[in-house]
Formats: sequence, C-alpha cells, structure tokens
Amino acid sequence: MNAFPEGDFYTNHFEKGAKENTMILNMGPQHPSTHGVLRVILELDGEYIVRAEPVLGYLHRMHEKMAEVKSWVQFMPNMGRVDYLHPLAWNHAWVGAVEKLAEIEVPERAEFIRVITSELNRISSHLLWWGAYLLDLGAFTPIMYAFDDRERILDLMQKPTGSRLTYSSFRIGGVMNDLDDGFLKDCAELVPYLRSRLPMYKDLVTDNIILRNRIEDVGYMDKDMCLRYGATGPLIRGAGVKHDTRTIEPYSVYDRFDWEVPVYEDADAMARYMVRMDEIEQSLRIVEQAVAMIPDGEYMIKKRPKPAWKAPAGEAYFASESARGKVGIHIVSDGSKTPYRVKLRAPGFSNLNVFAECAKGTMLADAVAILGSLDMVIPEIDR
Amino acid sequence: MAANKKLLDSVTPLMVSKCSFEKTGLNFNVFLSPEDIPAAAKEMLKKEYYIEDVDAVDVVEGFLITYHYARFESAERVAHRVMVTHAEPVVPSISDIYQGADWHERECADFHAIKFSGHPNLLPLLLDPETPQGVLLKTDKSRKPLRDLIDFGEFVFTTDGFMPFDEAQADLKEPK
Repeated sequence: MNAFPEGDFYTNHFEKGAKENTMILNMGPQHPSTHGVLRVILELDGEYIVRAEPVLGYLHRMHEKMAEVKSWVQFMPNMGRVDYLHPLAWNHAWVGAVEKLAEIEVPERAEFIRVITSELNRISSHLLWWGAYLLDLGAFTPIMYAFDDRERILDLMQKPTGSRLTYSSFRIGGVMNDLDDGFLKDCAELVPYLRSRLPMYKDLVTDNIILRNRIEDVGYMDKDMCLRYGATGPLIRGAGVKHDTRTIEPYSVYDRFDWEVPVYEDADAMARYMVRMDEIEQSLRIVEQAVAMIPDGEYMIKKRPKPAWKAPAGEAYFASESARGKVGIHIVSDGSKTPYRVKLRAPGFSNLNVFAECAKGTMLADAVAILGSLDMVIPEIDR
Repeated sequence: MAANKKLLDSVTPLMVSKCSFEKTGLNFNVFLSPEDIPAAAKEMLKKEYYIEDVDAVDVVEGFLITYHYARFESAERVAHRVMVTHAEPVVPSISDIYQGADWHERECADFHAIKFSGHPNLLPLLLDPETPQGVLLKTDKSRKPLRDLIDFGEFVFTTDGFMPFDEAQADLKEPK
C-alpha cells in the first residue's frame, strides 16, 4: 500500500515516492510570487533545489483554435489578451503578419502611432514588473511609486486605444484612432516627467544594498543557455548579446530613431533588472523622437479590411519585440475568411523553460528572485 | 551561402528552397527526412542558431512540422520542415540537443497528437491530462492540400525524386 498521500497527475509523474533526504514541495498555482497561476513542483534537499518542474496550462485558452474559427479582423481582440501587460507588441505582431501576407502598405502616420503607443505600453509593462518584482523580494513601497507613474501612462493611453489594460487598438492597415494634438502635447510633457522619476528609482531601489544582495549573482543564464532554450528579450541582453527584434529585424519605423539597445554582461538577475530599467529610458527616447517626428496624413488605409475580408493564400512569419522578448506569429492561409493555422510564439514560454535548469542547486528563496527576474506573464505562456 | 546549396553539412536535405524575407519572414526552407532532424538540429546549434518554435500544420498529405531557427546577431530565419503521415505521426525528439524544444514538442503533442520519439517527458503541457490530445486536428473535409497553402519559393537544391507536393499522395485517402 502507498504510505504517501495520493498526488495529482503531475506530482505522480514528477516523483512517485520519497527519496532519502529530499522533500517534494508544491509551489503554486496560487502562490503570490508565481504571478498568476504558474505551478512549480520542486525537489528540495534542505533549502537547496535539486530539481524543478514548472506545470503549465492553468490559464490555457486555446487562442490558436480561436484563430481558426474567427475571421482575420475578428481575431484582433485576442491579441490584447495574450500578454495583458504588453498587448500592443502582440497587436503589432498580428497586424504585421497579416500585412506581410496580404502585402498591405501601412500609412506612415499609422506606423508612428503604433510605435508611440507600443513604447508607452512597454514602459507601463516594465513599471509593473518592477513594482511586482520588488514586492516578491519583500519591498512594499516601490509598487506604490510604480503604479503612480503607470497610472499616468494608462490615463494617457486610454484615449487613443479605448482601454486601459487589454489594448487591441491596432487594425490591419493602420490603427483604430488618430492621435490628436492634445495627446501629443500630453505625451511630450509625460516624457520629461517620467525621466525625472528614474534617478529616484535608482536611489530608492537600484542602489539599495538589500536588493543587490538578493539578486546579484543569482540566476545565472548565459548565452549558451539562451541559445539552447530560445530565450530572448532581457534574458539574452542580460547575457551580453545585443539582440533586440526592433534592431535585428527592424519592423515598422524603429530604424528611424536614435536609441540604444541596453546590454549587460553579468547574466544574473541584476543584469536583467538593469536591462529593463535602461529600457525605460530608451523607450522614452523613442517616444520623444516619434512625437516630434510624426508626419501628417492618414492613420488607416482607404480600403480597410472588413470582418469578411479574405487574406490571400500563403504563409508569413512576423516577429516583434515585446517587453519580455521576441513575439513571433506564424500564419498559414488558404485564402478564406479565417486563418488556416496560426502559431503564436510567446517569449515568456521559452524564457520560463530556462528556469528548471537555472534553479538547480540554488536556494528556495532564490527561486523566487529568479522567477521574478524572468518577468513572466502567465496568460502569454499558456496562451 | 551560395557555395553550399544544401545549407547543411551533416545531412543531405530532401529539398532546399530560398524565400523572400520581406514576403514570408523566412530565408530558407529545408525539407528533411524525419530521421535527419536531430543531426540537423545539432549542426544548427553548432552554428549558433536558436530555436524559435516548433509547430505543426494539419494538411491533406499529413502533418507539416516546422522548426523555426533564427540567429541572435542577424535577421535570418531558417525553417526545417518534415512531413509525416496522419497514420504514423512520429518524429525523433530534439529536446536533448535544444532543451527549449522540450516544451514546444509537448505543445505539438497536445495540439496535433504528434509523437516525439525519445522525448523524456511527453506529458500534456497546456491541456488538462484528461483531455484527449489533438485538439487542433482538422476534419477530413476541412483539410487542404499543402500546395494550396504554402509557396516554398525558389528551389535551390533537390534530392532526386523528391516532390514537396506529391499528386498521388494528395489524393491518397487516409486509412481510418
């Protein structure tokens, strides 16, 4: 007879019985530091992790099936819900893929609107990550500051996008709304304000000795690991490789702005933290230039695709850079009203995959620091 | 790149075709036999490509499984493709070479019920363990032939006798 309580499907596959000196710990799916509904099964030797296995699927909604039953235009709202913290990168990947397939030329003003809103969205995503990560590490105050600043971005964004969280304002061939002069003026004022907050963040948190002791030399992920797992975004930039889809595979009008890709060599949680903090400043630079350079003109093509619009047959792969890494959308079309097959490549999926190898041999408390440094958004990982 | 039309040294692909990156987002399509997939993956890792994703498309001829590889330093995307039949959807796993392929393969198994031989842990990843695998499978009626879906571009290398769009294969009815 089994002397141990009966586990569920995943615990039974993870470990059937007890071993000498190790303990099985179930973390999540309701653990606060797993940001939603990630579950990790851990084998512990004292405080040290011997083996870790993330269990996914608690937020699986089968977006890829939904894509096959909705029309090209109707699938747009789903893109606002895959990654709720940086939905505009997914918007961009979807419209980019469809426009590539159908060879649609987008008006220049629309591309600028996409860049401005997407970069503001990236800052709000990084701010939320920053606050929540520090909350994981035990610092309560920063999230109050982060939400204060994030609130200003949301207030600004709700006018052109029509929502505060699950933005789906891009359209095939343009964007939903034009930006008015009021928005551009407010945006130009917001940039210096946000920039003035960054030194305070540095003094309050980045230079804090407690934070540094918690996350320096923790969660080592080098270039080789990123290669084997396909990890992108701040993970690869934190491992000393200058890889950003916005510069490597330039899309939209990103090649017109003067900005830099922040790179740190240390490959630890601190390096990934620094990459994201620097990216806030770089996104501000892009927004500042885009607001100054935005041309007049249309924000939507003349013959905008209707819900019954048919895309030509063929295949297209389009990548965009979200706050978490490379978003890739692979579409196969048979020339009908609905896509034949849509594959969504979520950056968080590949990034989280590294965790099991990375956590081996670290302390349990460091696992929280590592998970947080990956900046996971579970809806995106589970799709 | 023109020097080696096969693109790979360790294996001989069935077919290599060149595409326009602007139009499809791909540079090359490399058709392989299923048993060559791991050797090709090993070579891609040595050449510092990372794996973007693994996906399957359900077509009349069978499943078209695509491995997307890209580079960190430059814009290049190579698709390794393999065709397996509906009756026997088995491909060797590359999760011991690209550990990141582990989850992608499990996802493929969830969605299209494809078996990856040699995979250490082919449990349901995103689906509930009680849900039968293969939720994205199409019905016989809704399947389309591959030639109507994908334009592979300009063929630069072909092994004798290989046709990506086999007329006879397309008409073949799958045994139930």
